[in-house]
Amino acid sequence: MRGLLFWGSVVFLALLLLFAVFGPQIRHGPFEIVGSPYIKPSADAWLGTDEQGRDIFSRLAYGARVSLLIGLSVVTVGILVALIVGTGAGYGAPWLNTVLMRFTDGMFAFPDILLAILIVGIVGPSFWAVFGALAVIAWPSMARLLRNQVLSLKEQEFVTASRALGAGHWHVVFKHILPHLVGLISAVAMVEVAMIILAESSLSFLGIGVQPPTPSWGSMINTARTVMRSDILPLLWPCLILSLTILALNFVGDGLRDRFDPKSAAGG
Amino acid sequence: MRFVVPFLAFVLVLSGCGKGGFSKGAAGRQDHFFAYPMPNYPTELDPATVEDGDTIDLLEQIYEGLVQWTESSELMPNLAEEWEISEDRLTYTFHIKRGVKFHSGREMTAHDVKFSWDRAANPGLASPTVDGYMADLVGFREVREKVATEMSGVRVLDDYTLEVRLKEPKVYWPLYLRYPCYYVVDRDVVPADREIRRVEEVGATGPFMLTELEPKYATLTRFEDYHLGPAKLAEIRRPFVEDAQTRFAMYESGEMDWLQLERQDLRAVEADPELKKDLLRVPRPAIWYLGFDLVEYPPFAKKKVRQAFAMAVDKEAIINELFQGANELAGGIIPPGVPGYRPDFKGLPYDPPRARQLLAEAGYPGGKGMPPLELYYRVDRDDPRLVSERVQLNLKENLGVEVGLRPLEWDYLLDLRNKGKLPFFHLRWHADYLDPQNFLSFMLHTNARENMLDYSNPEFDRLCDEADREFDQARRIELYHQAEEIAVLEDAIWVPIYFQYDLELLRSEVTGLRRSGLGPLPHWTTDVTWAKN
Amino acid sequence: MVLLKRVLRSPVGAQVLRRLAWTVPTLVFITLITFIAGDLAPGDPAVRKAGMHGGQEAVELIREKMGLNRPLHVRYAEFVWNAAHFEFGESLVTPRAVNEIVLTGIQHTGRIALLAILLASGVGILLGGIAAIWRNRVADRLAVSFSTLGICIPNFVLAPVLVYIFAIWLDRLPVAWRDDPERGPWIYLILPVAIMALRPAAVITRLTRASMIDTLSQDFIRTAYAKGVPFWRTIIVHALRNSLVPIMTAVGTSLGFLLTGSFIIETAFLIPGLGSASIDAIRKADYPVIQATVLIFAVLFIAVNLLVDLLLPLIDPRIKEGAA
Repeated sequence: MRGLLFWGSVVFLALLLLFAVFGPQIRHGPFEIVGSPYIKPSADAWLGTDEQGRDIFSRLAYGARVSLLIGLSVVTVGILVALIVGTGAGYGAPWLNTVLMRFTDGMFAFPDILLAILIVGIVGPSFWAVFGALAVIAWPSMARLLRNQVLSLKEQEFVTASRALGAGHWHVVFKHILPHLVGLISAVAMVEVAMIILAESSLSFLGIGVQPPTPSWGSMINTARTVMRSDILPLLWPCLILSLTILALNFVGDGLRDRFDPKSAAGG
Repeated sequence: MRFVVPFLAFVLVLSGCGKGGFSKGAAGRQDHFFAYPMPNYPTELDPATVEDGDTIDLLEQIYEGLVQWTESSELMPNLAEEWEISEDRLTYTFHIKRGVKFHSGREMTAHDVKFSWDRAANPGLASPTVDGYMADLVGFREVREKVATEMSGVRVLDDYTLEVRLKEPKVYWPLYLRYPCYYVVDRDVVPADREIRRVEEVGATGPFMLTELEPKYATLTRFEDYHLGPAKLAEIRRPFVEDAQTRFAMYESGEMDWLQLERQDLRAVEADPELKKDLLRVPRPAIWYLGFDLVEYPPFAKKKVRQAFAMAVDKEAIINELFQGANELAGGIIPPGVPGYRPDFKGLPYDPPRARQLLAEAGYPGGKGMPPLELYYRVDRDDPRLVSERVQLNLKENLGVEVGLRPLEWDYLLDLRNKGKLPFFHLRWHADYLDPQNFLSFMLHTNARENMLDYSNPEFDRLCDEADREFDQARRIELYHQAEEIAVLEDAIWVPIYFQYDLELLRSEVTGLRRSGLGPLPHWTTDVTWAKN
Repeated sequence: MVLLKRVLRSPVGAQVLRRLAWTVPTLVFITLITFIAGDLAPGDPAVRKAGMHGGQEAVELIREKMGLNRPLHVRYAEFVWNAAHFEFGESLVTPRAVNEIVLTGIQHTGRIALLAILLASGVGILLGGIAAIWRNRVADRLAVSFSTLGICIPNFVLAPVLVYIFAIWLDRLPVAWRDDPERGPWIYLILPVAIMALRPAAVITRLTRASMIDTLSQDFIRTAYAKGVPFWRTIIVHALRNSLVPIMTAVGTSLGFLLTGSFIIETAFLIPGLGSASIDAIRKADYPVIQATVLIFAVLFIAVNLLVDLLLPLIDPRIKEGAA
């Protein structure tokens, strides 16, 4: 069952990626007005049209592009920062460790989305504000995790042995520490991407995320809410695709963790 | 699949019982109680400073002026029983009605009228409206410049006679008396040199008293000594509900008796026979338009840029598709209900190729080289958002111009507008009185207080000045038409989008709700009965 | 002093004091961020406060009155001092004091958060327990899928969908919050609380299940069972009590989720709580309100975490420093 979910999710994510890349061009553009508002699904507009008479299929695909772009790029930036800080703190000087721990403590004192909201509130909503705000909230938890991992790796025999044989710090870090982090990072990355996509859509839902006319699943849900009395489909599509994406990312994350860290598999 | 099972089971348990009828569940209501929502908290409590339609609508139940509208939108006496106009049309003598009581019980006299007008003109109140509405009074400028504390042109002859002198004969001046800054306040109750801010500071003569102002609602209570006899309604409740969905739900549940329907709810209403019989379509003398500020956004100083924008917006589609024909396409500026309205005037045509060409001629081919631009509109209504998003799409597709959207809370937006800080905006102008002057000279004349756009065209000004003084109505309208054509066709300083028709839901049990061309009149005859079957 | 020394000598006491001491720099960090954020914000508060009718004189007067001419560190100190006294000045937009907005906000947000955490703990412990007892059976599968769904489905997806089902289709619950003296607040709280509780309930289910499985496999449970202690007594008295620590931790961290969840839920259901107040303030660029709400959220968050950290050793004295 677990295998099925994992591979099913992998396939879903692959399809989503294709959808994001090619979807907006297949039939209509995401900004193109193709007819009246709220047309039911038809041969022309496969999932119907939205309040402006734009093709929902194309907008969902563009929304996928936005979500994946923000999710992947924020997590990439977050992992890079977390790697530098985390290995620095775990492997390097104790004072660095203290500074990092206290700083991340402070960051943890802010609930994630609150900090993002504060940043966007001050800077004003835009793609880059959202990107920056999410990058700021993404790295501390990963940095902590990596630091803990590095700390435990540092005490492992193969590391101490390598040190005893006279290997330099850089050598140890690149040859022994980082390669052992790959599995953990890939598992964590999946879950982090899910979290960032969720945060991005939350901001868009609140009207302070990616701004119109650029579609985002969150803002599509928000505007479709106002017409659900007469037209429910424009609300259901983005709800469905967003929920499935988050589920799939979590399943893949779980699966990867099981593969790289068999100990945690039993926990459930 | 197994994820879905518990959820479906849960839903089935509840749905097994069928419709719940929560929304229809409100208990029987008291007679003579009338509730209708306001989309936002009142911006002011002071007639001297108020300027937005929603708040004026609230205050008109409380405060009154010397005159009132009839249902056919003509002036009729109110606090003034009658008035005489001198030969040279410069002096008005008002005879004040005897026995009119303030809410405090004190009798109102001509002294109170003079006090109220002098107070409104007082620079200490910094009213944003009096420079537009009171500038014709002799002595107004002196008060504004702090040379005098009262207007020499407004004199009390005796307790029941007031003489008013104007600087120039202005045809439309008596219409101004219906604007809130001319309303009469109780000098024993209101603060003399600052705005009215609290419920206790409200003193007036209207059919209702403001008895409660809470963060989420206001309550108006019948004034028993009202000079036209006490209202039939005992109480009016005005909840402040920003969200259109909630307003609609409150109407459905019976908590609201009257509602301005948002366009997107029309489909739901038409599908529901119960609601459909309450549906009304009411014209408003109001125009929704796009405005350009020539200083805040320098490219707009070029006429061709404005024309290009105007010709790139597909108004037909906005009316027919977004609004399903519920509003009327605006070619010019003067709306239906106002003398001078022309149904056949179509304004600039929708012509994307020509628009692109104009923009290129202005030095921005394909929108290249234009600084970032944002379109401002109010956040609490859905129609402005729909239109603004459509305008954004049109400009992107037809001109290649990227425009950001800035939905703002109403009070904040109004504040920015009054400071002339909106580079590009989608707003409404609603008639204060039914005269074309209110839409042309009042809004776009170089010296007009409401001209926040830094627009100035000597020819436009000349036509307006001449029309404002012209007593031959046909000739006067002709002059305004020429001015309108300059503003819309040549200068494209506004892009008229649509004339507003309100979609309303009003309980079919309600009778006696009076309206003039300017919207609801004070509800003192409203007869709300709840004959529940 | 003697007392202090005694407290410091006891390991738990020292730990508590250290934990308390660490909140100070955290608070400084947070006040600093909110203060700087408010100061960096575009627009001059004095100009805004002067409003639509204010001229240059009024602006200068207000600037003087608000003390905006003074150096940054003085104003920061004052900001902290005032915040400590729950004094946040006036809103830039409405003529209301920020306190007033924030106080009504806290009542709404607090009520929903508390109800939700109660619901979530009840549901979570129950489901988690059931799942652990009947491990790998249908009940367990259902509980695990519930928790997976609960963690993954965003609350702003759930909110409109449930509103559609229960308020529009079935017409049994209200669409959004409002003051309703006739029906009272409870019926308006059902959907928001249920949606708020979902994610914490899912997390608590997960943790309860894991820790109960762990405890149930321990020797002392088997011993108790072998000694003839009835099955349910074993479960409730022994297993559950021993699982209390991870469950408490989950409840604590969930409160954090609940605070942030309030942004979405309060916006979706139009509840005038802290979350919707700060979103409103952001849209109005009302910086004093933004500062106040953010600060209060952060302080609540810290306080909850502190409380959990302090309570844990009381429940389970085995916890040594650092183990948490």
